[in-house]
Amino acid sequence: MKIKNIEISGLRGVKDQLSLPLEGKSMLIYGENGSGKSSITDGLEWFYADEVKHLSTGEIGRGGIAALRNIFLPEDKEASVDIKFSDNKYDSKKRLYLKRGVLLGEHSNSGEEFGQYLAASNIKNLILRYQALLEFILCAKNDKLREISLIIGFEEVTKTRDVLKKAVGDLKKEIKLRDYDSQINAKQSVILEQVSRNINDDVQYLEAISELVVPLKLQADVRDMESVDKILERIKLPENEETLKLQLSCEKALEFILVFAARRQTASEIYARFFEKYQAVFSDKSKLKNIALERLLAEGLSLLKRDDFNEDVCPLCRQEKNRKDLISGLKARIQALTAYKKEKQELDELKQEIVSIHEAIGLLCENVLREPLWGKKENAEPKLFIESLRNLNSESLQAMKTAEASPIPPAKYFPLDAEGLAKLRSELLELKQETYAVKKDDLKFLINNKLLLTKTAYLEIRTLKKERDILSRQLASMELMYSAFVSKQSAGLAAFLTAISKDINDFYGYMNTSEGVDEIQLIPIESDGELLGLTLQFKFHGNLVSPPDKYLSESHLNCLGICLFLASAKVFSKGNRYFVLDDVVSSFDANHRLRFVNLLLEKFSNYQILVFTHNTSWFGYFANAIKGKNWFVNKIRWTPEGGACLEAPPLMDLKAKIEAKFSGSDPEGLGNLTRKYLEQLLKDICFNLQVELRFLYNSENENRMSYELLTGLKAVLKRKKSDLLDNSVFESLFNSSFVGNKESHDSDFNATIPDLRTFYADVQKLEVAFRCAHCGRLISGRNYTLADKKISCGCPVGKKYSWE
Amino acid sequence: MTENLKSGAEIVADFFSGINSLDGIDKSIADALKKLYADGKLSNINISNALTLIRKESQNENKKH
Repeated sequence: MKIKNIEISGLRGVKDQLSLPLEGKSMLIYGENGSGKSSITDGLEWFYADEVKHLSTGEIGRGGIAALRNIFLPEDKEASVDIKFSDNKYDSKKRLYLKRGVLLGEHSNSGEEFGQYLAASNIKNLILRYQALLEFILCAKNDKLREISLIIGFEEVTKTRDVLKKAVGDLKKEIKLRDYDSQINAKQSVILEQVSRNINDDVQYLEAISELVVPLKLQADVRDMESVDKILERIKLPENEETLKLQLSCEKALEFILVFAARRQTASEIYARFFEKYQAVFSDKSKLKNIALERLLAEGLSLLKRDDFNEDVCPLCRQEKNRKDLISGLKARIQALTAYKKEKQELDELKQEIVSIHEAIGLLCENVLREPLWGKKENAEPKLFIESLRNLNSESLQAMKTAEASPIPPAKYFPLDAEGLAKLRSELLELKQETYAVKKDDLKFLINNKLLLTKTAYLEIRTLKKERDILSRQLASMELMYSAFVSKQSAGLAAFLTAISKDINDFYGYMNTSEGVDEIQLIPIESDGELLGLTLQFKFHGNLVSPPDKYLSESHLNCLGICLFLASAKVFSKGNRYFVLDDVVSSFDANHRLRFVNLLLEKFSNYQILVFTHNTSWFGYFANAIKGKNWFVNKIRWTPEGGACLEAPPLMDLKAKIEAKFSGSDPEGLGNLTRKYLEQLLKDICFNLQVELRFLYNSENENRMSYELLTGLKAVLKRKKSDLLDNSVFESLFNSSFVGNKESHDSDFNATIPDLRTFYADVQKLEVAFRCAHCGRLISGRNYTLADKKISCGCPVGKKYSWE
Repeated sequence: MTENLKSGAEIVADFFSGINSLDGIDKSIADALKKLYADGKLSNINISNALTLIRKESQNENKKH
């Protein structure tokens, strides 16, 4: 899709309306620095991206939108970018307006297809600015990956990969936190004590229960879980209930000791890692303080990368400093802070893990303290001990929460009262034995107790195993998913890098012949299946080398930057068949400039290319190279009255302005507008009829006046014996006081509306004579027919004039 | 060749559209993630909630049997 028309008003340097009636044509615009070229690029960027990145500094904020509105625009007037495309369902006017002091942007096109088009159009593939040229070439390997990710929309892949990776990590942590093994082991030891064997499945369980109840001679068939319940119901005696409950409670307390000790051990191990990392992270407290500086440094870096800060002076302290050194110094500091932030993040994750274990231990303590065992007065002491464990856990949790202020050494963290735990265990075992001693001859009780404890432990093991299996299956699924995603990402990136490397190499080779650079390749850097970054390598006089800035000049590096942009635009500007080059040849030498024009014309002839430059000689060369190729060529300048405007506004634009002034009977500036209209019309006519004028240097051609053009045109018509010469309009125009030299443009001439109407009528008469009413084209020397010696506009029903 | 290259968004969309055909993947997890992606809600909190819900459903299923 190409652009038919761009209309910008009230944005950046454009105060009034600026129209670019491209009709799908490529465009070359010259403008000095500050003339408003980039206002067009800014408008385009905002149209797509809802931000203007190079304006998006901390001071301006809001993605640079706060700096987008022309500062002279009255508050009640809105700014806008109106783009019409070759497919009109994507036409939209984006308005920027103030509502209760807040700047809002809104597209007139709210269609779903347009929304999808905007989302799919990556501004990185549409616009290349000078300051972005070297960003990729000079950045670090991980930044290269990030930059490429932005170009090809890989940030969504990276984001999704990170989400999947974290989901895998979260599941692993959850499995670790639940500590299934120690819980299951504690319950297995209960089973082992009761039935003298381990039970791993239902068959073993039912076998064990069958053997257990043999002495009772119940003649019961233990074939399923329900039959175990039935047996328990049959042997249940009301007088045993209380004792059985206490026995079960005792077992729970014994289990607690095992699980508590295991979790404390895990917490201590992680704490040791935490403490070690803490020492590394907090060894230099100034680093921690410096994290707050990261934003300031990043802001400084983005400021220095902008074109308008190109002096060798630090913009903050105004001390002399090489700009390149300043940029690389800032980059190094930001990189170090990023690594430090990552370490700090890992430390925070360890802390969170320990906090979760303490919370789980707290819950474990609360649950065991609810056991009926502690209702008995004689058990007050062990209960107090468990309460002390709970309190110790709470204190350790608290210490963990404030660990960053003053962490305690691992040896002092969450101390294990091994003696206390051993004492608790022996007290509980003693309690069990006492109960057994009372009932030691009650076979029914003993079997009932064993059966109940075995059943409870086994069913709990079953539940724990199921939970663990479900979690493990989820983990396996998520790991598979993550690894499949990483493979997909690697394959996608590899395909892109291969294709783009080939194009970069071709384009670079086109612009730099016989300079010893070949086989340019973007290579992914991976470690343990993780993509760490990208590197740009190439053959330099036969040797494989990297990075480019070590071997290439600034001009060659810029060239490489352009090649990268063109290659990615070619691959990823899928819906759009246009791109913008905003002042990208500043550091090119003459040879590179010329080859660059040739590259664009040869390799991108089916693209609509919008080129802005402030380089006079390159503009001249470019304008010359595109002669006859139907490009829109113009100059832009800034005036205090109207802001940025085209030096030779399109005829349609001028016509609309002239007619608006006539209908409002406003003579102010009308004479000049009509003169400009006539000049532009005459330039187009003279170009089409190959009217030869005296030699002028290229940029001066734009300043040719109507009188000079009319004289030249008349001479050609006379020489060609054309019947066009019979038209009385030539005489009227020559006699008009509006047709004069350059000075007359700004002369004081109090023209009345009737005078101006007469002049405009003559201009229109001239246009009617030379422009076809059917096809709208001007007559042209290219449409000369030898048979009848006539020229025409080229359409079958158009006017024909004699041309000998 | 370049016509066959996929953008990042296309790679992610492709992955989720074919997620059910990955060998060894739990279908309920695949469906849940696919839905979160389609709704533009693929975040760690939402994945964690979805996985917890699937676990609860599985445990309830187990209890029934």
